[in-house]
Amino acid sequence: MAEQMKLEEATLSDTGKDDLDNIYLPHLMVIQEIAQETPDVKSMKLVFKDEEMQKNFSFRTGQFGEFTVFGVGESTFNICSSQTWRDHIECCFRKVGRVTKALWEMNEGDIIGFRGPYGNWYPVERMEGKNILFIAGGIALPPVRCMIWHALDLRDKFKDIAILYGARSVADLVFKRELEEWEKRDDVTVVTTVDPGGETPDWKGKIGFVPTVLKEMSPRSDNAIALVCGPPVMIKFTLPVLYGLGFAKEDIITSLENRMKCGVGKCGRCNVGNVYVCKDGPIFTAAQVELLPEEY
Amino acid sequence: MSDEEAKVTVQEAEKKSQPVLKTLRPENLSVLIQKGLDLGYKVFAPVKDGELVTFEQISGPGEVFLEGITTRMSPKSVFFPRTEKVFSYRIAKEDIALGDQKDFAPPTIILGCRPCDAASLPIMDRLFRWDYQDRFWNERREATLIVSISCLECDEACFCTSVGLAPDSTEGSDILLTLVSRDQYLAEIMTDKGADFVEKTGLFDQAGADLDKAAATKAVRGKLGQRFDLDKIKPWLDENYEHDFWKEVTRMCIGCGICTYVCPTCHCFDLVDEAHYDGGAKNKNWDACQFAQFTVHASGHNPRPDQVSRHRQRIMHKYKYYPDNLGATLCTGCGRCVRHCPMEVNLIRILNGICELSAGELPAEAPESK
Ligand SMILES: Cc1cc2nc3c(=O)[nH]c(=O)nc-3n(C[C@H](O)[C@H](O)[C@H](O)COP(=O)(O)OP(=O)(O)OC[C@H]3O[C@@H](n4cnc5c(N)ncnc54)[C@H](O)[C@@H]3O)c2cc1C
Ligand code: SF4
Ligand code: SF4
Ligand code: FES
Repeated sequence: MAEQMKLEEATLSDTGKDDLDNIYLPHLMVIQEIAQETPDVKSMKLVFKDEEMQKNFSFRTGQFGEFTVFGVGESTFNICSSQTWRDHIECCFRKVGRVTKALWEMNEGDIIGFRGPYGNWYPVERMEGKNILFIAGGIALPPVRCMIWHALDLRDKFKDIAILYGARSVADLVFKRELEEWEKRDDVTVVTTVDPGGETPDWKGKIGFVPTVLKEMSPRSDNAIALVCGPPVMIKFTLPVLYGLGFAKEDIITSLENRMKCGVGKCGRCNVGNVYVCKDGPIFTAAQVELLPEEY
Repeated sequence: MSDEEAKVTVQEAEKKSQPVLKTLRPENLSVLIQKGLDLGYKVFAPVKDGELVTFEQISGPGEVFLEGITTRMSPKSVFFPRTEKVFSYRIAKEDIALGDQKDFAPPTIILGCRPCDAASLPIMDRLFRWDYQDRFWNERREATLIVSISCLECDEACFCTSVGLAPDSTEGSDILLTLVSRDQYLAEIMTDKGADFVEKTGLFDQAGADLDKAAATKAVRGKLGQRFDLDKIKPWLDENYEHDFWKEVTRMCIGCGICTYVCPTCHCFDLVDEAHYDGGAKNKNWDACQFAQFTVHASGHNPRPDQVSRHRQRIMHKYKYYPDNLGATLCTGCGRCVRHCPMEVNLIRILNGICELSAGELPAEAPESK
């Protein structure tokens, strides 16, 4: 995996915002490779059909896109690859509704539509020179995984890197091969856990909920930034543990998943308080989230 | 483009520093409409269909109906149709070909819209020209001439004067006509686009200095009065996202969404695919924050799970979030939501209630310390 990547740092002057006249018109992308991650999660490698477009396409780690299955609909997914990879992008999705079911049925070589990149990105400049703690639950590993690879590709810009990833059961862990790859490295600490009852006989990771395991890990909060993505309940119980460890609200970064349609601040769907999650987010600090009405 | 530039509305960019005043004889209005049609414009105007008055594309001046108060539906659908194709696609063997939309912004005239509807357009420009550009709205706006007519009548649902507008305000109009006497419209020509059209028609006369628009609309202004104090609304909303008041005032709302569809400034939409056997399209359809489906996540979690939170969103968006983000109140006081709500949910009453609460809770003037 790592060998396929271009490791030079992307020097991006902008957000990669494209200048199409019609903001609703997608670009065509070819599904290059599909991996089934869990019984209901797949990840896909995508390349632009237009080679020039692929060459010139740039985005920032943490941004999202609108993915069209033609004739079925459009879904919002995080671009779960890092901005340091230039020859393709990746997305990872759970089969939950009409669009994701249709995408699930597609094959390598099929064509889908892509609009983006949209939204803000991880505050990489603020994270450089710091210890980074990644915390993810379930299907929310993809939006964290892009930043994990970003940090690993530019490893010497960051200090200690720790990853805590939990899922309901062993079968629900996504990107298992990458978790193994990270575990083998000596410059990153990886802790995986499954909910009690979700373990298999040969499970070597922890058993317990993310907040509990986090408390056991008790990572240091000085000069550190925590990046937390997961289902609302996980976030709800993880934040107090982080506060207890001394993390400031400004140093905890999370991503909101309000329902979206346009992705460009027009359709009104993602509006929460004074914020349009698609334009001002999806990435916020815990301090920013606290200021919003509880509509996420 | 900087945010500041983006907020420049179509009207502001073309606005004349001083409106040019002319007159038009009422019998020439029909001639004007025919000229517009002859010049190749699509013309939309109020048309009477039984009891209903709606904006329709017309083919002759005889179809136009300018009496009474404003239309049932606003002319927003001219710029933002209920449903429109934003691109098409065809499946050919293993490949897909995309087709962009063309020729969707022909030269158009909206004739006979009321000042509250004209005013809604520059308010909506702020959104569609904010950062990413929605060409469907923007190009139609640029291709459309707005000839509006001042109101000489109102009903108890109208409240333009309470949101900083007036029955004769010129916001958003290229030309505003006010019937100042039985045989004379005063024409205020606000933009270059308006002036060009006036020139082309050759129907307008030089205005004398004696024409008094304010006198003509004085009676209706008096009737409208001041239905609430706009200055009190946002400060209260800033502080009272959580308040029992919301439950009280939205109790009757059944979430039918009518208030949003009749509203000239509601603009939420959905993007929906449509498939045929060898191709299809993406459609941009009106949607409404009043529907439960609007915000529900795929997991079933709904951040706005009840009608109270959905109705609060409508008012917050119009009177707090939009002003905060885009610098304008997202309501022109056209009164349609009040007039057409089947459950008699009444925005004027709600805003009035807010004024009362704010008077009760905040001292109007901090007492001077001695
Ligand atoms: C910024 C952002 C990033 C995201 N990133 C990711 C990501 O990386 N990976 C990912 O998997 N998801 C991600 N999501 C969530 C993802 O957008 C939704 O899960 C997905 O669009 C919904 O699936 P669908 O399009 O198939 O549903 P649709 O078919 O569009 O369904 C529409 C709605 O109908 C309802 N519905 C339809 N079918 C069902 C069903 N079977 N059960 C219950 N309700 C149903 C749901 O309410 C659903 O929201 C992200 C969302 C946001 C806002
Ligand atoms: S306020 Fe009235 S018109 Fe609007 S959604 Fe509720 S019931 Fe329908
Ligand atoms: S909210 Fe009601 S009064 Fe205000 S513009 Fe919309 S329909 Fe008219
Ligand atoms: S997704 Fe349309 S406004 Fe954010």
